[in-house]
Amino acid sequence: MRYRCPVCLFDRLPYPPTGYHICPCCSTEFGNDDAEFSHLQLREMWVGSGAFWFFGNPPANWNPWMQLVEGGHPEAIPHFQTNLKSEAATRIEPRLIMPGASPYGLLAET
Amino acid sequence: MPHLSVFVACDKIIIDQSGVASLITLFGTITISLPPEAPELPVNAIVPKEWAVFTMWEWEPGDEKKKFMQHLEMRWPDGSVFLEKKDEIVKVPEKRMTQIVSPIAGFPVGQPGMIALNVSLESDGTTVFKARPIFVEVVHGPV
Repeated sequence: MRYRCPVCLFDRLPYPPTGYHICPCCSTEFGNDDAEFSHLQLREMWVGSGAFWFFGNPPANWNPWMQLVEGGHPEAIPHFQTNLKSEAATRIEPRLIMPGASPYGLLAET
Repeated sequence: MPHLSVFVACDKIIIDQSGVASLITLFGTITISLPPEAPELPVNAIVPKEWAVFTMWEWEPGDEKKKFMQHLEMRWPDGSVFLEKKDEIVKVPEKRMTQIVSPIAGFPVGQPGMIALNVSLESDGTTVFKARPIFVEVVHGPV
């Protein structure tokens, strides 16, 4: 059984987030830290301090921002960007492949 | 062994009722605009954006009873792994191809350069095929 930390959204806690257990990711001590602050406040503190892994080595390929997104809290990510634009890698040169051919009546099937 | 006929990264994939895929906005270069006063991006920064990797495998005779695993791996420009996904692919009777949509919830923008996507095929724990990587370029630019 795995549990999710309600603060940093790390989803591989081996114990429930209660009873003075400590999240190895964000260091929240459940029953102590979250008695004083809300989970949202603790999350903001963790993100504000850089969202670093707390104890030992993080899981392979661990990314705190992906963890927040996949945990359903993308709004917790700092707004790194103001604009994200996709561009083609190649220039498109339109060509008439089959003059007179109608695109209708074709049925694609995989 | 199935062979890879399509391998792309794109913004959106629409699957119609008959299972035919349409790919929207194939990724070539992603430009992220940064205000001059903005703090430096962490090297592991992502943008919460849904996008997907689409692969299509074409089956060959004799593949019916074999088990294959698609291994998708994505690397940051510095070579470290951003994510890995494994999907089992099985041949559906009377279908010539199998398509796999791998949705990803965030796009890596922390490092300018080439994001490499690798796809390989495993059978019985052994890599039996490795595709040439595809790349998405990330550019950091001013607003």
